[in-house]
Amino acid sequence: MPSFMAKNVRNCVGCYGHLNTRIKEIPKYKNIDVLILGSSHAYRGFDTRVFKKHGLKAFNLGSSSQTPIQTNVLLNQYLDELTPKLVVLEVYAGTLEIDGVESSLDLAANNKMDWNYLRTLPDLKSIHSVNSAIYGSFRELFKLNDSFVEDSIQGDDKYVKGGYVETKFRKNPLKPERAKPWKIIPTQINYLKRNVKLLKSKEIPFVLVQTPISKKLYNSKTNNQEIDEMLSKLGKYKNFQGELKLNDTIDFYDSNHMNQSAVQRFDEYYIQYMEKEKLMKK
Amino acid sequence: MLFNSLSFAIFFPIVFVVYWILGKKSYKWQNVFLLAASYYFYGCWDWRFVFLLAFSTALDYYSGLKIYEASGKSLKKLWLIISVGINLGFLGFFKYYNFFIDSFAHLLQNIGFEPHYATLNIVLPVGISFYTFHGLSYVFDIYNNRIKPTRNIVDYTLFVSFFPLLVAGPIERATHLLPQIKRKRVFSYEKVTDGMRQILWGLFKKMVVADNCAIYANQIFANYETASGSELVLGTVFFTFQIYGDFSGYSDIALGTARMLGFDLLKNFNFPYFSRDIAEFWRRWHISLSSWFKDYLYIPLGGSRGGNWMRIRNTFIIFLVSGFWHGANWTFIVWGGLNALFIMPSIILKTNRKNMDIVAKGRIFPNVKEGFQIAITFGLAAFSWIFFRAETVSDAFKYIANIFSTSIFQFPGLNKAAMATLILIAFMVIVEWLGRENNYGIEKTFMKQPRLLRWSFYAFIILLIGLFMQTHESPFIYFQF
Repeated sequence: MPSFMAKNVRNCVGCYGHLNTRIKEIPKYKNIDVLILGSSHAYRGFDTRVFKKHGLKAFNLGSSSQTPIQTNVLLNQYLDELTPKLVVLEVYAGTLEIDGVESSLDLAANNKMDWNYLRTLPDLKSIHSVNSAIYGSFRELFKLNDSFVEDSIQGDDKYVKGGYVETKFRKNPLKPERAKPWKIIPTQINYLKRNVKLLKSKEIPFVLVQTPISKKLYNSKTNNQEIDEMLSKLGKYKNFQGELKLNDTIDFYDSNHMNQSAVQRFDEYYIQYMEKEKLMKK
Repeated sequence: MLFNSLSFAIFFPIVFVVYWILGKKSYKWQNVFLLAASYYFYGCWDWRFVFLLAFSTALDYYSGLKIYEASGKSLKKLWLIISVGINLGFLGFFKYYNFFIDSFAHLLQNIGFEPHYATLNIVLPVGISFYTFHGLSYVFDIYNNRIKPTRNIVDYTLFVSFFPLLVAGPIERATHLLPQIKRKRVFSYEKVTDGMRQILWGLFKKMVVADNCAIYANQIFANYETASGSELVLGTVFFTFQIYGDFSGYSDIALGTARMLGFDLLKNFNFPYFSRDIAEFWRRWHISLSSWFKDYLYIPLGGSRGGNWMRIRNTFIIFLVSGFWHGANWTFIVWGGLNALFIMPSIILKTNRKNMDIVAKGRIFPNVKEGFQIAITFGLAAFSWIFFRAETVSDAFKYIANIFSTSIFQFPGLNKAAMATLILIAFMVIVEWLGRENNYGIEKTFMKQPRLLRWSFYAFIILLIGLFMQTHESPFIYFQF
């Protein structure tokens, strides 16, 4: 439907983030070692090939702007199918500041529609999400997306089997960052707590992870410590900011996403941390 | 709590159900419940001003009794002055204090003084202009022996604070609403469905037409210095329909809501943009305010008696005061003055009561003369809205000057979404034109057709609301469009 005719319906199948391909890959993955969920920091920050090198079967179920609301949907839908030994919940304060509508539209267009998704609509409070859910259900009912095959290469992005998206090297233009605090939305924290509770109920080990962002962006935020304190109360939590020597210009292609070489170094470091802390279920 | 909000969508059904259950006991229980609901509704805006509302209500209730019981004319007048003075004093303070201070300071600066002054950070209580006028109409009507005061404080308080009309009118009269409050309301399926229909149409006008026109009107008015003449004309058109959709939409929702509760409120808009002259426009636009000023200001000033000069003076006074009522800015006063100028020829020539019937009654299309009259009247109204919308009077003049540049003949830069908004405006105009002989646009649309067609039409309007209503989400990071 042309956007100007339906400004409150967004249905973009295979438009960005490769969620469509990721969902279709899930049936091929069972009894995995590590399941990663979260925003673009997840699917652009955890290279499943690095995990494979260390003999770990990982699946990356991150998606664009995925917030704890959508993580809850995906956990309820696929956790029993994937049966991971460890779940990594990527938690970026920038994602906890947003309402989750954008990611809900991504799921409505590219994921299955069921009660797990529909019950999040009242918390999203968005006519976009409601309309798009109705339209997405219609498309699913009549199998209109079944023949769709998403391009593995979209612009500078290349989809890697297992859910990771590799991007071409670019230098970070270092845009100015205004000093201000993170403004976390309570609904997102509530859903994060629900996700933690769900994993605990299924006795699946989990870790909350903040991947590195540029120093410029991180240092512009005035309440990082408070965020760390809040997240550490929810369970096993690790903020990797500052753990690795990363250069803002070369290792990041924007204020908060790493280039490929930085991702590889970060993933190696993360795997060492994971093994040292014995995070995975035996 | 806005009418077009999720909170109201939860609040009203609960009120509706409980209200009619209580109706089986007694209408007095209904009144108490409605009063509580109305104060809750008002408190949702800002709980602090509930006390001001309560004080104003108590003042007018007490003054009304004192006016009625007073033995002599001078004592009656004294109580009237006390009520009017305090009410207008509060209105003046909350709405106009900073305006007067700023204006006075500018005047002193212009004559060479450097005044030291402070404006206050005053929060304007929602609906103060409306409930103040409700209360004043009550005391005036008692003073003029049109109504006896009520001794039931619940009934009177409900009259002032009845939630459908509390924040945006219509401005009801005690002679019209109080009798309805004081008697039993009978549940009527027809009234409930009619009310729902009017609410639906009001929501369409507000959420689809007004809110989408606002996007373009705001953009164009904010950038009038660089916009082409034709874009400025378009901006004026968008604002003309924004203000109509917003205000008449809200009125429709208020009337529909009240009708579902068994009340009939005064019609506030009667398809004003189909008027054939400015006098007819002002008989059809914000009727409750115009008639309030006519009854409580124009007529006491002498009305149409006493020759042309009296009529001209009184007409100017009510339009200037009406402009000022709308807001504390010179732009509103100029807007009022402009409308007074537009209506003056018909006042002087005594042709202001020429077009009293419905335009093109019984016909689908207006004739050429009617079409021309409608276009001219619409143009004059739209022109005056420029002053209503502009930030300052000088911005308004610059806006108008820029319209009449050579770029007026340039085709305006319209994106698809703006075109879609114009199509929605056209849809609304067509529906209202076809329904102009009724109380509101879709009152009788497809009533003589099969139910399926009628319900499909309502479903289509609901679909349009769902597709075009404004949303306020976090900005999208990844979306391409």
